[in-house]
Amino acid sequence: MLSLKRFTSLANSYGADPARWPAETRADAQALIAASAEARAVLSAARAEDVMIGAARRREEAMLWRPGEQDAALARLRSGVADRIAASPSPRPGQARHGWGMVSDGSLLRMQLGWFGLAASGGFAVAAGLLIGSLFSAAPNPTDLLAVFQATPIHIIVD
Amino acid sequence: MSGGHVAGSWAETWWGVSAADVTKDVNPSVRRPRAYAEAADEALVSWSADGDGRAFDEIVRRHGPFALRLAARIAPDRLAAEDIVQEAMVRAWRQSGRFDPKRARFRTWLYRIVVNLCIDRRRRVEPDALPDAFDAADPGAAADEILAAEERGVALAAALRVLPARQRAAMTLVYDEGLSGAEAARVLGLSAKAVERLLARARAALREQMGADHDWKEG
Repeated sequence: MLSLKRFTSLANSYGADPARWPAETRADAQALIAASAEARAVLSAARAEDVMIGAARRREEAMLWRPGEQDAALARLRSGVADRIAASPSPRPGQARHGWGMVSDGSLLRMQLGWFGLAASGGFAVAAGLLIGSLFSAAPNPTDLLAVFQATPIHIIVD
Repeated sequence: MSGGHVAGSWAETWWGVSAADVTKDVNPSVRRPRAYAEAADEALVSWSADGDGRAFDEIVRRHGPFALRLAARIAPDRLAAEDIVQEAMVRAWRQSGRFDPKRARFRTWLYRIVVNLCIDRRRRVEPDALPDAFDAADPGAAADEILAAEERGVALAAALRVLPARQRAAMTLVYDEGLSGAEAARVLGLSAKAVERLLARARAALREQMGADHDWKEG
């Protein structure tokens, strides 16, 4: 059951027209109107506000658009948009996706797989280099093992 | 004779359209004309993404009137509103390939572009002026009662004009266009509760304008 407080809040937002109210509240609102004189009073005040607001909005609309001006504005809009899109490249589906679009269509996953692939191929190249190096170089003499780690220039200076 | 040529000739004969205006069906050899006026918004957007300007013109024809009224209610003035709607339409064209009908209705997507552009423009141009003829007296209205009603109407219309942009947008979407609170919320990028609060604040401001004990509350 809708409380009178919630009913008043809805009337203060949507006015008295039930078509504007959230669908899930309408049946409860009708029940409350039938049961509560206070609810009927709230609705009556909202209806009076609707009348005044509607009149003010029509007045404002009339000030914004004189007769025929909306049709002329639409014609200008169609012409202006047609000119601008004729001068611009055709949009292509799937171009430059960002955000949720990338998540929902899997392109973000593909992009991450791409980064992973790049890192994996780099790692593979390093491993292959070490393998080839070990295959084509002589095994170090166990007695001269420290020489392996000694940099050549230092060796020259010592000599 | 190629399939494409046959399809084009058929279309030109029966629909008065060129071969570019026919679309491939599931079977590439079977083509049908594009019936723009009957097409759903989603189909028109999809065709637009392929570069079909006629499909997009149908979108402009279909949604332009309300987009113009919506923008005129929120933008600083009507000329700004026309600029904004044109810009919104061109953006919609450019981004048509990114539109996902599973995530939003087209009109919600378009109105959101319009509202955001309007709010941005109003932030740069505040406060907005009333039209010159806004409070011009009606020469035929002599009786005090009519004058009083006229003044009330003018005052309320002026109060409407200075409401914050989001409140104006919420009122236009819900009261004029008949969007549900949930759909208006999607246009505005807010929750349905936030839209309710915007509407309530707008009505409270108008109520205050008219005075708490004004006779129009009598119903």
